[in-house]
Amino acid sequence: MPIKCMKCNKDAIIFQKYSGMHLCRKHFIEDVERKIKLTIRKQYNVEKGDIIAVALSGGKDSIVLLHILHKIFSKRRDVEIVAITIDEGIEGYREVTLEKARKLTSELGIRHIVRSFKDEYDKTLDELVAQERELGACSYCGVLRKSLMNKIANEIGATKLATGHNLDDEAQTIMMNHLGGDVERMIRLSPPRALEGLVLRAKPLRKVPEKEIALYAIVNDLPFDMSECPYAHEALRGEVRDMINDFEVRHPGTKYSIMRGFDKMVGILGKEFPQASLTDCRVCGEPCTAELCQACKLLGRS
Amino acid sequence: MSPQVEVKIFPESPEGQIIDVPDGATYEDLLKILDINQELVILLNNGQAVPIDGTVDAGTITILRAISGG
Repeated sequence: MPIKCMKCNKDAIIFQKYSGMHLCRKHFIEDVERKIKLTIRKQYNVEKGDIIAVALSGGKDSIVLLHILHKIFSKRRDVEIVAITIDEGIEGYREVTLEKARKLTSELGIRHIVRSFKDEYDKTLDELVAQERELGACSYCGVLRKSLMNKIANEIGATKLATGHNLDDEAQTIMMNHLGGDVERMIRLSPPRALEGLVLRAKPLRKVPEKEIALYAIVNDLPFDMSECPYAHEALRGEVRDMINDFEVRHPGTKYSIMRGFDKMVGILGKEFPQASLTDCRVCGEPCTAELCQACKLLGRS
Repeated sequence: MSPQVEVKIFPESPEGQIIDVPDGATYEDLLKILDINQELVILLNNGQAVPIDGTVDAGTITILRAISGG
């Protein structure tokens, strides 16, 4: 005998241990969308005239993010959504997700900007990491991608830059910063105010567990692939993820607790640790805290 | 007699394997047998998503490793 949805008596497709609810397809979709709408309303006040840039890699999180933002805002004529995809140049990997990203934006009729490391920095990520280097591939990729994403968002006059970070990502990052004792980095995760030159980040999926993002994609027939970036992932994040997931199974709700505690503290911390003011990088003009930005440093520009 | 189910795990073993599960076992029990953390996967039975505390039915069970880096 299948377990029934607690709201309508249809067959349940999920048991949320942290809430104690069994939900059917319809009520699961409603629950995910409710959490996202609530996050947007409480944390990222969307105003008339907003241009929301959406960082679209083509992976499940960003696909779900764009799908839901389109669902929420496409009827509003005073808000525009623009998808931005960065092609880092990772052979055998990015082509696949890029294709999924293109398919979704054309189906939804969303303006889509695709820019590559090759065009911007004259080298693909594959070429950059083949050189002699001190840092891991993910450092190069992350720094350059964020820098280019911010630059494009500014070029199109975006007032917000939305990314697909989910509850698991957030809980992991918070925990990693705790373990590293890195309070400044923690504050940067949830900046108390907008900084000049840096488009305001929004993470509408931060209250939805990663597993539920995947399930949402499946039940909505959104493109979903399980391919992985060929470059090794941050080792520490993997360890922290496993630790948090072990805790979550034994103590359901742990991920939410990690985030809730952080959200309460970060406002207070922001007052004690004022953010460094930003200046323009003297080479590329992107906002940074030093004379030369991280991206230009990595590229050996001076 | 304990039921047998066919389990396919994506992406690593899509060809499937036959597993004996104890009578009345839940999907959660099945994942424990396979030593897979339930936070990392989506479970489908004959293509339909199923809750983790449901009793394992006859049929083909698909386990999708939905969380990258796993």
